[in-house]
Amino acid sequence: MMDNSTNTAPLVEVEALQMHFSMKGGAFSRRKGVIKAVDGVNFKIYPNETFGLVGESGCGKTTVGRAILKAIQPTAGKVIYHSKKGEKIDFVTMSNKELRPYRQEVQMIFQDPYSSLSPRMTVQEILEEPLRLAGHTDKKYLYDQAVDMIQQVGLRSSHLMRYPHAFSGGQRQRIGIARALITRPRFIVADEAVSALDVSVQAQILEILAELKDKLDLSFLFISHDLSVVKYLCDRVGVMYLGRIVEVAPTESLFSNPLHPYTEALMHAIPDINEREIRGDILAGEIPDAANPPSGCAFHNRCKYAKDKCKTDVPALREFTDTIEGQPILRQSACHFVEEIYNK
Amino acid sequence: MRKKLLEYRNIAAQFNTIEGQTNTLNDIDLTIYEGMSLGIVGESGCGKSVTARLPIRLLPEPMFKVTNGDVIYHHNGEPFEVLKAKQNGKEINKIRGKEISMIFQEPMSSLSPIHTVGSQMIELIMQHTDMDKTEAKEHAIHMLERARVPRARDVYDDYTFQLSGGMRQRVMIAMGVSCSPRLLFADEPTTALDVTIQAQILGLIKDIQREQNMALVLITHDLAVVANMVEEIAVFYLGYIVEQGTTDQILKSPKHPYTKALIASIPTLHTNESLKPIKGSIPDPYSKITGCPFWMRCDKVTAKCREEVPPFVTHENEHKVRCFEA
Ligand SMILES: Nc1ncnc2c1ncn2[C@@H]1O[C@H](COP(=O)(O)OP(=O)(O)OP(=O)(O)O)[C@@H](O)[C@H]1O
Ligand SMILES: Nc1ncnc2c1ncn2[C@@H]1O[C@H](COP(=O)(O)OP(=O)(O)OP(=O)(O)O)[C@@H](O)[C@H]1O
Ligand code: SF4
Ligand SMILES: [Mg+2]
Ligand SMILES: [Mg+2]
Repeated sequence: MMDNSTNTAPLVEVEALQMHFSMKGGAFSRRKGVIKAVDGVNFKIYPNETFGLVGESGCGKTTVGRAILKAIQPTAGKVIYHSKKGEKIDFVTMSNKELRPYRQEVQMIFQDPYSSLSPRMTVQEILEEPLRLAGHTDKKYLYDQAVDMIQQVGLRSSHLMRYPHAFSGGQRQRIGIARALITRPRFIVADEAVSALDVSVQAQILEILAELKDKLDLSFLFISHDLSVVKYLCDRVGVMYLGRIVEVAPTESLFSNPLHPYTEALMHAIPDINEREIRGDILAGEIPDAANPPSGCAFHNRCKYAKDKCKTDVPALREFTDTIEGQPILRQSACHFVEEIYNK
Repeated sequence: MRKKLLEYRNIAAQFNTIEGQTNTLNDIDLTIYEGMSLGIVGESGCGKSVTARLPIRLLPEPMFKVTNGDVIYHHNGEPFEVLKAKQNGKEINKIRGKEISMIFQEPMSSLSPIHTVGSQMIELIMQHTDMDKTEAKEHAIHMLERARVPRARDVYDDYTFQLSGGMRQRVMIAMGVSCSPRLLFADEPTTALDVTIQAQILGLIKDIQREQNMALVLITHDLAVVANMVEEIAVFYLGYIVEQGTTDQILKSPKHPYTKALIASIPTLHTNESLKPIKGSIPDPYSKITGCPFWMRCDKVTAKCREEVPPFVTHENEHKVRCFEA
């Protein structure tokens, strides 16, 4: 993927994306200050690429996804989308009405299926809705599409008349996936799309996603805390820490050879069925408060390599070249001491 | 001698819907003892959440119907027949949330979007304890802190839509243990959490379990999670318990072909093997299956398996298996 990324035009370009929530709090809250949930995030996603976004709970992954698709209005930055017709547009500056024609090209799979599926609609209505919004009216076409999609995610056409509450958690998640895929979008933000699924259904869904990706030339922003799934599915991965991206690399090189101390710690913390010990101590300490981030490198209070400079200077996301099987690849890391720590 | 806390005695239960009738639970025979920890594992739709909701009667009756068996809760040494009580009557309300508490699979399904985290917590605490409002508030914040909710005092005043997925799940956990239940059902409590917090949260649940001598039923599809957490495991398949034993028995010497396949299908990051998903898929719950529920996907299937439901047989050291070939 990476080798062609240098000469292919990207599909989505996220530039200096920022989402600050101000906590004036009104009458109900005593909370003050600004939560910098997303604070200057840059990355590009190329056609037919699956870009993974990983990082600890609360680091801003969902907020990035929602801001890209304008489920919330970012406080600053650009989201450049290269549309099917070849236009280059910035979602951030567009109104909802202006965005409507592009709605079926970009879709979202939500982290909490329960809150995103209307309890008053049957599964059939839920699946047909995005097609209706896109202007389809033919009843038979709508029904056929719904049947096809529900089967693709391993459920049955008889399920179409049920309401969402009559499903198990994993089944509901698959309905959310079917709804996102039904308009045959070009770009999908998948937020913890398979985290609630058991391994066999997960494997099945991952296969479907991989297959559709190639069949429909899809691209994904794949948000997940499950690194083994990310490793399996993603072409490139961005690692987030406290509202910023600290490392970007092709998946294989990220896993075999992380270039940021945070990525390194994250990989060490993965539990393994063969090890009975809970390895919580490796990434010690809490993820700091997004309303009051540490100075310098935000990771410095948990980093085993931290030096004085880390406490004062904010490290920039810098580029490095690496090689995989003789091919040069591009990597990025936001650590002052990449060269020393990783011999780069 | 272990003391019984909750018993499922040969439970069979169905959903009756316009699509037809499903045999959602079949011959579930399970005893939970005081202070024990049990893992329930199995694929999506096999009946894990329904099993957890049954003793607190959080299922849509009469569409959901128990057709056989009893559920007994041992309340201060007195056996209480859960299924004979009124669904939302006084007796059940005394148990639900106080004696038996639940951390739900999808946090937003049980958190109110229009009340702050704090107001939901004090309501619960004041309902089940003698604390006044000030004490309840301090207790709530203390529980949030214990559940590793960052900025607990601020989050107390937040609405749930302002929280990340993982924070919601931790709020659920704080609520679930805030009234010192005797039994906690934790239904996929860490699916929305990354590994570092997952480890901390599991550690916390384990600590609370030991401190309060609380029994724990941990429901999960992630065998790596239960491996570290529980003494015993029950493996569910299509509404049946197909195998039950100590964690070592299940993980190190599984006897049921389904359990073996499930263990083989776990992806690991540390080895480079690809996934070995279980062949075939779970049959339609509305189809009437004769014989062993797993025979269509089983390597060891015989003619007998197709005709008769295998009994749940106790092997050496209380290792129980529902398979003719085990
Ligand atoms: N609407 C909102 N108002 C105020 N704060 C918010 C809002 N939405 C998110 N936040 C805050 O922004 C931060 C990032 O949240 P986000 O949901 O993006 O995290 P995440 O990386 O997806 O975490 P998780 O893995 O737990 O889902 C959190 O501190 C959260 O409380
Ligand atoms: N209200 C309902 N009406 C009809 N069927 C239902 C209802 N609630 C659950 N079911 C069905 O009962 C079966 C068991 O569901 P349950 O929620 O217990 O599964 P689970 O093992 O928890 O799965 P998951 O891992 O996906 O959460 C499923 O096939 C589900 O579709
Ligand atoms: S910049 Fe310093 S604190 Fe930050 S990751 Fe690198 S060494 Fe650690
Ligand atoms: Mg999230
Ligand atoms: Mg469930």
